[in-house]
Amino acid sequence: MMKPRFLSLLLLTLLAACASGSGNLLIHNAWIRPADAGMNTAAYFVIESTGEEDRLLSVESRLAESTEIHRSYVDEAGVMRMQEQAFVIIPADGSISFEPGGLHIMFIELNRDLVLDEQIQLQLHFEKQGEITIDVPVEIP
Amino acid sequence: MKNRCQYLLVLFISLTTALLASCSTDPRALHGSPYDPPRPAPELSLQNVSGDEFELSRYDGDIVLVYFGYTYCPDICPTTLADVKLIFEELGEAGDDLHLIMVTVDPERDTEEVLRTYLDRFHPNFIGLRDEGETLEDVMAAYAVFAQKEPSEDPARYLVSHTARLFLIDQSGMLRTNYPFGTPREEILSDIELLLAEETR
Repeated sequence: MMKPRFLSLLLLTLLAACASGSGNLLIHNAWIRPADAGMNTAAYFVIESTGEEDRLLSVESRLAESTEIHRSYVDEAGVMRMQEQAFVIIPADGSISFEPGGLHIMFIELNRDLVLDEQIQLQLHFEKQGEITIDVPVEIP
Repeated sequence: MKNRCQYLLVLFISLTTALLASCSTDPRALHGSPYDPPRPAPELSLQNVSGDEFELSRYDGDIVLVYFGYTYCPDICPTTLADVKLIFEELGEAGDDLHLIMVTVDPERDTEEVLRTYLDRFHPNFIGLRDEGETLEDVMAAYAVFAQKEPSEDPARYLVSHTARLFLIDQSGMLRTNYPFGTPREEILSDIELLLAEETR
């Protein structure tokens, strides 16, 4: 029977193998929804910090005319709204999830079709960690 | 005497079965925000992507999900439609009696062609409806749906805030419940299976 410490190590190794990171930030479970050229779409991921607090300031890509950080939320009248975020705080020794209906990276007016199973690259700019490039599969989980 | 007792027993069982069959599911058994009592679904007097007048009554006998959204929606609408696509797949052949209707709240950019191409990405049987002005506003009001174009620096790249609920209409054309965004897919699927079972009872 495998010992818990070995199992944890194995899980961390597996996670690291499918994740991108730099310094004390690890980005995993990334995906972007397929869409046609000219349309909008969104990307999602989880950012984990094993150190001090940091801020995600912007995301860069060649995919679209504009790439912004947004948050969807339901207002008091039950209407779904979106709000652009100037930055997102990554808590010290914590994590933050970008997921449907919440935080997401919005791509406005795609320059080309995004086809299922292809991989795209995004550059994430953090206040302290600087730029981190991640590979993101085009998929519908 | 014995024969009379048997006759009464058979009569009792028959009446009970008939009574149960005539009862529909308790509205409270459905997820989301059930209509208690269920109410007739407002007509969707809009045009389909071929430019023809749509009639909800054509789908009597089938189950219909209605959603108000727009194709440039980057997050909420595609998440909802992807969930419904999975529900169709999970239902298998029973999914033949289910229809998804998306009414665009952004007719300015969602032309018939854009709407058809977008919906085909999810499922070829998804139905798109499009209309403008008062015609659209009347239908939205009937379903208590709100939509508002948000200000944008680039007038061509605006977002639309909107009610993001899925409305469930049963085989008799009655509104049974509606689901807010984020309702687990399993709950919607289980309600549809309940309606399908209601029909065969």
